[in-house]
Amino acid sequence: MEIDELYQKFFNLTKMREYKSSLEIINNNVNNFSAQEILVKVIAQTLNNIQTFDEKGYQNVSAFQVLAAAKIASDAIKILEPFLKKEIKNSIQKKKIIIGNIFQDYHGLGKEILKVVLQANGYQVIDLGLNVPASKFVETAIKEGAHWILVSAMMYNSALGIKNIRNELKKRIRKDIKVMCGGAPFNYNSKLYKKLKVDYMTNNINEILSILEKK
Amino acid sequence: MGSKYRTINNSEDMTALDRVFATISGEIPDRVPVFPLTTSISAELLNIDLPSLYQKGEFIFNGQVKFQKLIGHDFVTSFFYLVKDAEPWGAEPIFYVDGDPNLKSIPFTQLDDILNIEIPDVNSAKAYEEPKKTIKLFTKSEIKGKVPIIGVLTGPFSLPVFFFTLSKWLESLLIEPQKFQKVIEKIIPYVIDWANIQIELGVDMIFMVDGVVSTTVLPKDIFSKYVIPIYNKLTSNIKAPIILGSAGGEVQGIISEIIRSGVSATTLSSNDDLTICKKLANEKLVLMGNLNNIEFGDWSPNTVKKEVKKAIDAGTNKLTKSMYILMNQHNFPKSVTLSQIGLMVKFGKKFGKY
Repeated sequence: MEIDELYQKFFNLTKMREYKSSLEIINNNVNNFSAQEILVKVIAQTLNNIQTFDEKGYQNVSAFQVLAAAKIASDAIKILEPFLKKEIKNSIQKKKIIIGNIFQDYHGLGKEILKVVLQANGYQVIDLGLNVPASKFVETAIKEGAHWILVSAMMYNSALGIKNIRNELKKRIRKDIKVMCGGAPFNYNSKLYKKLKVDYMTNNINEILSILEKK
Repeated sequence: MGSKYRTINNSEDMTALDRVFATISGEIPDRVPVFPLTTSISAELLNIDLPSLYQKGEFIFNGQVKFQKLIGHDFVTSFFYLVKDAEPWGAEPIFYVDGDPNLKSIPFTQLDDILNIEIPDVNSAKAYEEPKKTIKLFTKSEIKGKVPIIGVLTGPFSLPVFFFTLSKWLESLLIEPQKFQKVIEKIIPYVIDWANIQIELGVDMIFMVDGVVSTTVLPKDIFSKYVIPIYNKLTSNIKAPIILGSAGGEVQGIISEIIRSGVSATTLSSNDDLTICKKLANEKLVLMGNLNNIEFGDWSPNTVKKEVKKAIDAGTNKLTKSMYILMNQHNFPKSVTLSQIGLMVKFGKKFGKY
């Protein structure tokens, strides 16, 4: 089997939310390809392609479908982990990313999905969890030498607290640290992120990856 | 003319109750009912903060009555806040001055935790004392019989989100679908009991908030397998009309499934196309919506006017039956003012005349 064929099979099983069969096919092929090749060309590729959008820009895949893909990917990565550890010495890890849900927001579904996607694409992810004060995002980014804060919110009222991240960055004169946000309120008000003084806003996984690659 | 649940007064001086029941039973009332969804405005009207508002049934009652008298919309509600439905199961709320209450922590770690306990007794649940008091105050007031009193509760697909988080709840549907189903089956009697207790106390209809029941969260194939059978049980056991509240979730792709579920009405997301939904509903389902609650606060009076007219034109298009209620897709944020909401109602009444 070629790697493209493995990708197609894994993608189809993931799309059908066949949890056990998806993991089985990774298990059965872990000795046929390098773990990094499976990670990048099969798992990351699947995650990047599972989320599609309609002509208005709305996601036309349900949250459950995306979560299912993320869970399958996360457990597939666990299968690869011992092999990756052996191979990783020769590879370069991409930049560190700080992620979390803003203060008073407890809806971590989007963040969990994003975490798996970023890891599968080679980023070092520091997940601060739910209900995170703006100061903690900034302090952690500075301590870890990270230049990206990715912050999520599902509730409108909690989303308003995201502007405090910019205030904290200003206090510390750290223009070099960029902030990207996502979550339900931004789907319903495309200008909201500007009010919150955030650099980028998107709920599209491919767009997130593309912004991180370019900047 | 009679409806499934009550007799409708078709005279010229229709009350809000007549108007809403005429709408859900497919008749054409004097105008489109207007439902501005907001809870925080009550605190502003009573000059108290949000955490205080949620402590007493009297506050919820007084705030709702004052709000309804001021702008003359078409319902009142005994609703406190959504996570209240998790409190009888052992969860503790945390209150904020600028937003909705949430839970201090997630009460269960795994699905078996729910399967191994007895469901709480709704009748004796301390958490429901004040909401029950609110309904009793409504039924004793001049509101009763004139303005529909709406009872609110969390639907069975969304209540477990408070128990386990949405990620964990949906993960169980992926990995342990049988257990997912068992949890739903276990909580159905609880949901039915709480709905029927509210109805016995005097609410006229039930607004079942079940945001998971939307294509934003679930793919279409799940609806036939899980959602419709469960909702058929709910609708045949709850003794009043049920509004499905999708909490901003999209439903355009599952309108025919919602009709099969037996509910009387559904809310729409502002992402749903009301004209298409109206066609799909085919006069078998009342549609409620779908003003954008998040953008609303930024709208000028002229934009409110345009958006209200656009929604009403789409919602009442080519009708032989009415079956449309003007509403915002989900609760207005605290930043939306009373005067802005007043404009929604004013234009709703103006453009909504049949």
